[in-house]
Amino acid sequence: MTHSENPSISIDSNHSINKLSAILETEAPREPKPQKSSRHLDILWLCLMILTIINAAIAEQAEPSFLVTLIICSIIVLKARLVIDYFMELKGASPYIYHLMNAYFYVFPVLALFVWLYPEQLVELIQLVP
Amino acid sequence: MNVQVIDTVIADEVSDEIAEENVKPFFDSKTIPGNPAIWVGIFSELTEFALFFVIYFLARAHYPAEFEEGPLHLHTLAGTLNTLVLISSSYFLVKGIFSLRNDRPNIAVRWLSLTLFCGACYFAIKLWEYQWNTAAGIDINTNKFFAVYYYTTFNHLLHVGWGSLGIIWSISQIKSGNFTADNHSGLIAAACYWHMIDLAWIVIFPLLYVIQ
Repeated sequence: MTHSENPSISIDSNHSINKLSAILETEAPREPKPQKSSRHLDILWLCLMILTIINAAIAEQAEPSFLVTLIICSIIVLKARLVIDYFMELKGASPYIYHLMNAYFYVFPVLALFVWLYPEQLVELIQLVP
Repeated sequence: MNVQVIDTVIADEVSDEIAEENVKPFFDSKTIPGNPAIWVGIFSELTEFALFFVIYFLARAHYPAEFEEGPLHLHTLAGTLNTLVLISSSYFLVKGIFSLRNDRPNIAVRWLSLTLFCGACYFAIKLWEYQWNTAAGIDINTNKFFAVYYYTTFNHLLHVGWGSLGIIWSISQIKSGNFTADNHSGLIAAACYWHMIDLAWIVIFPLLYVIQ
């Protein structure tokens, strides 16, 4: 009886070959997926430019107030998130890097707001001699 | 070869693979853009900038009048232009990476050259701004605000220089065929460093030029 005439051997062999090819496929270097379009980057660039111009307009015209400072700090966070997520492509990267980068650009705008609101309390807090 | 032996070997390999997939390392090198070394550098630089920001906050708390007046004396247009230039440079860089991924190295080199041009524009605008300050009688000793302003912005300017060197190196690697659609982690590393410089300016610009 030949190999092909024995149905049990044939099924086992096919099963093994499928498994082997599956392993080889996972180990073989993968071709990068072709990028569909970078149109979203154009829109992001436009958004970042508009946010910068809003910041500049505030610098030139708005009177200092809590609301203005809050808007400025929010724009810092928004711009940083856009750059981190889409320009740096950290969304799919190591979560340690992604969250650390994001945290950095939340902490400093919040600190800026805190210092704007409570400068006297900060001075008291960091005085060496009471 | 016996089919059962092949089956056993394959089963072992498959179970090993499943086990490897289940054990998640603290840092998976596959999910680090560029390479781990560049991220040590990036976080070191961000720590340096963090120190500058902390100095700004402490100085502002101690000398509120100088920090409320300071932004009014700065060249807001120069600061705004530099922000627009840096954002555009980051955008051109990402477009370059997209072009290389699509196996168009010549187009990628053009985008990266635009990034480099933006870096040069940043230098020129900063020089113009410093000269304008000098003409207006502003220097590092004018008051605490301008001391913080000069230290922070000059430090940032130096980083734009390091970043530009990274972009020049990436362009040379693409031209020589070392960076391809499949292999360009060095370009990603240089790009991440450049974006870090852009991000630092995203904080510096409002702190020094906008918030009064």
